[in-house]
Amino acid sequence: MISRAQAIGLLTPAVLLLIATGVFPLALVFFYSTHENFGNDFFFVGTQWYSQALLSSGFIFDALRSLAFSCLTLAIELPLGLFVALRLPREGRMSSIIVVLMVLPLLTPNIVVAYLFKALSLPLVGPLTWIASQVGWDFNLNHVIPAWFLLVVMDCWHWTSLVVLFAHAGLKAIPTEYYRAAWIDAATPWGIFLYVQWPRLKLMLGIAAILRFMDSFMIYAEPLVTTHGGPGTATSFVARAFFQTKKTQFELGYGAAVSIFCFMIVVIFAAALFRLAMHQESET
Amino acid sequence: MNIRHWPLVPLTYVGFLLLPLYWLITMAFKPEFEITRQLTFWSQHPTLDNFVTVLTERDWWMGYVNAGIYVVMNVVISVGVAIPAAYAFSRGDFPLKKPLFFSFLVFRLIAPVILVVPFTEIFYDLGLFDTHIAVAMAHCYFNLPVAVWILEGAISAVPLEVDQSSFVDGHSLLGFFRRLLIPTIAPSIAVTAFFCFMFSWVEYVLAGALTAVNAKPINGIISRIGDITEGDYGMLAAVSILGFVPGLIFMLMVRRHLIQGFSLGRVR
Repeated sequence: MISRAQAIGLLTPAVLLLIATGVFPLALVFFYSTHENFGNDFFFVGTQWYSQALLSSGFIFDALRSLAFSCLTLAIELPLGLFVALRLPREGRMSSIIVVLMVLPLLTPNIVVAYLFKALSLPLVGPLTWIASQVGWDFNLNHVIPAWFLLVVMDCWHWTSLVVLFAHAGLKAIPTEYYRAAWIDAATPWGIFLYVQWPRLKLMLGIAAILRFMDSFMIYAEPLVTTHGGPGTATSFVARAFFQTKKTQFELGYGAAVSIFCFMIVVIFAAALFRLAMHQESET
Repeated sequence: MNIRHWPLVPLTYVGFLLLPLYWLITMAFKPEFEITRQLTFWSQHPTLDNFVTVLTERDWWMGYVNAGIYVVMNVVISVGVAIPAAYAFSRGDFPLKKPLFFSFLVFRLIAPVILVVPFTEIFYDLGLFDTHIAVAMAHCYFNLPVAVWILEGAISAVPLEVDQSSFVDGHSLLGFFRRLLIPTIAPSIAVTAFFCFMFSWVEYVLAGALTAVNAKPINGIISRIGDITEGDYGMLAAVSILGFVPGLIFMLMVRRHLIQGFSLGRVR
């Protein structure tokens, strides 16, 4: 144990850095969201931008689409990532080769992933379009289902590995004695999963889910490059609407109010997911 | 190894991941007309032009240098500040410890797009617009929480006796950090550095918005040419493939610790 003064001294640089690069910019966003600006003159307008955002169907539908997109990708990435992690050998050459290859998508910037999948789905000459046409599917991004399909596949390709990595780390932290004890008790694979592996996995999965929710909810580059938010507004998500408003109409306050809403939604979901992961912990 | 013992599920999964990457590689060696007018599964007119352009034209390769500079700066700042903080969270006892720890993590939940305008304002006013340090500082808000979180787990896994015996031996706090703590948790520090590196390297919204010419990173250039030319795919592919190199080198260096390092003590 260290003294209280020492602890505070050790924390100070980190707290100051976070105030400068996190608290202060966020406070500025909050300031913008309650003010109207003409050039550099700001006038307090209270909750005007917030009510405008809540009353505009554009924002509400974008938010609902983002929410649907996040839930859909989580519903695929979490089980798939868990399944792959459970089948991944604990250690050995094969395991490390797979892990290294798996991390490749994580090292790819969103913008590159977006252009790569755009190239894959080019009309007539994209391999994805070609494969779809072989099975009689007209893979045309001007239709809602192919557009969503592409974005979901893209997100899964890009980020499922993060779930695998977290789950694999959780599994590796389980001492081998636990498995031996389970083996002596003649536990079934399902029993081992439920009572040995799951209790150690859910916190890791919860954290992976939080990180993924935040990113997919604020997805921006991928729909912009591949579908331009279309067809119609079928793939228009919150971050895109927010950027557009800012670029075209210079409504700083409106964009800021939308940002604050987005941040709040993400925090609420993260808290709920975290509680879920911790809550079960206390049960077992 | 008997085929029946092969991890078929993970191998199939990796196969699924590699297919688009294969396409990325073939595109890099194709001239533009072959990408947008034909469907060929390997290049019929193989060319190195895309790579030659990226590696010889200053505007292009400087993008990697710029990104490299601010990423390294960010990793040094994030990890350097996070080690003492993580130690305080792990060993210290002070009021509001838990809420403070969680409020650190909450900052990781802010999407970079949200902070584009305030950061641009701040760094303009400070006269730091279009500098490496601006991007390095801006990336701290999401990397510092990650670094504190991973390192807190790593330090909590170190037995308390290690600290105590060191202080009994007359080490100062600084001496203990340098001689004992840092070498002990080195694998976790490497993994933390890798994660900070990765998050900073792939972030392009802030990096693009806070730079114009002098510090323009490669991802900023990609999004810009993407906007203008509606995608010169061969070029983009070559740029991206070269962009993997630093990450891959870093990952091969820390691969042994990658899994263990960030689970140490965290999953209890």
